[in-house]
Amino acid sequence: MANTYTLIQSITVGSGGAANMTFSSIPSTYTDLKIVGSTRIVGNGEGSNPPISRGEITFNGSGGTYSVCMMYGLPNQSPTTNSAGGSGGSRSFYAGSSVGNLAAASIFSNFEIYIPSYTSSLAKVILINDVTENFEVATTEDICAISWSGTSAITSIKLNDYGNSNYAQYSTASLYGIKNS
Amino acid sequence: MAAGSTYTPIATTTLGTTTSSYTFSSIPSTYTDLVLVLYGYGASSDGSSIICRVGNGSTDTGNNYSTTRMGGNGSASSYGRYTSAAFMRFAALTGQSTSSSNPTSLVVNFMDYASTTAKKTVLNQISQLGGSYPGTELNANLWSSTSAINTIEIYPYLASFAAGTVITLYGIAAA
Repeated sequence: MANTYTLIQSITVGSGGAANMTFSSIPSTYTDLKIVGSTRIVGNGEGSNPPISRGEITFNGSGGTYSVCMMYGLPNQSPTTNSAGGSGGSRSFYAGSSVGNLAAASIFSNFEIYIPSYTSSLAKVILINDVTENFEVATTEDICAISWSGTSAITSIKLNDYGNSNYAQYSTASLYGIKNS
Repeated sequence: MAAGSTYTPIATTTLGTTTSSYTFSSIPSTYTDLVLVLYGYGASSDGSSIICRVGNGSTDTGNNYSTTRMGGNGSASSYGRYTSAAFMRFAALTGQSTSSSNPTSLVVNFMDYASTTAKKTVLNQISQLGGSYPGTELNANLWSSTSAINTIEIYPYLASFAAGTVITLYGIAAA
């Protein structure tokens, strides 16, 4: 049987923490990419109440324009939508979320990122789901879309915390390649 | 996970011409779930919804579908519900752009599609961030039938997919 759902690379942060998790030299032999992650940050990131910080994603190092549209829910609040945009290298694109060190111990956020047709010559539109459940103290659930204007194949993906905190030990992200033939 | 055995491409197409609808037929019942992935843009009618019908042997054109949706476009979040409908709405807030600069990404999960005892729940996430109706949307759909799904038809409402649109159906096996 064809190997159509393949682990390309898995990253687990060590005891010293890490400023980012980066997948590089991504082969162009798949149709879609999928990232599944579980993250926590060392500091507060961008928020202490709730202690949740958004994540950033950068493709191919730099360049291109990003647009973001997200809808998220917090406890006992109606869903909120937000959008942002900016050129590569800005801090205007978000992916996933991470709980900070004010959250209960051993709580990690979880996310899934799906990138259809990542080698397409069109712009890329990425689908993201993420959730943080902090034992009813602070929770978020988010769906997010990111459009990246780059028309070249995605060859590297960097994930980092929007609030410039390091990822904590045991944070992990795995990149899978999905092939339609 | 046993890589390779759980995400099997059943059929795929890269549309060679403008296409008003695309149908996957004779879908085998040997998987547990199905995943449909679409990436492309519209050839006509900027802002068109993307809809879907399913069936066994042929697509069910009766009013046997419902959709509950929620989504946001950056300035307003919204929700909606459609009952006794003639199709599932994979997009209601988010309209497909006719610009190649604003492609749409769609991922659909058909759970327990081959069951002959359960009515079929279908979850989808769709996003498109340009054109007249940008947004991101998460929808839950139901086909009110206990027949196994072996036919899936997907199309833009009163519009067409542009050439180059990629549509793939994967089978997910639990074992």
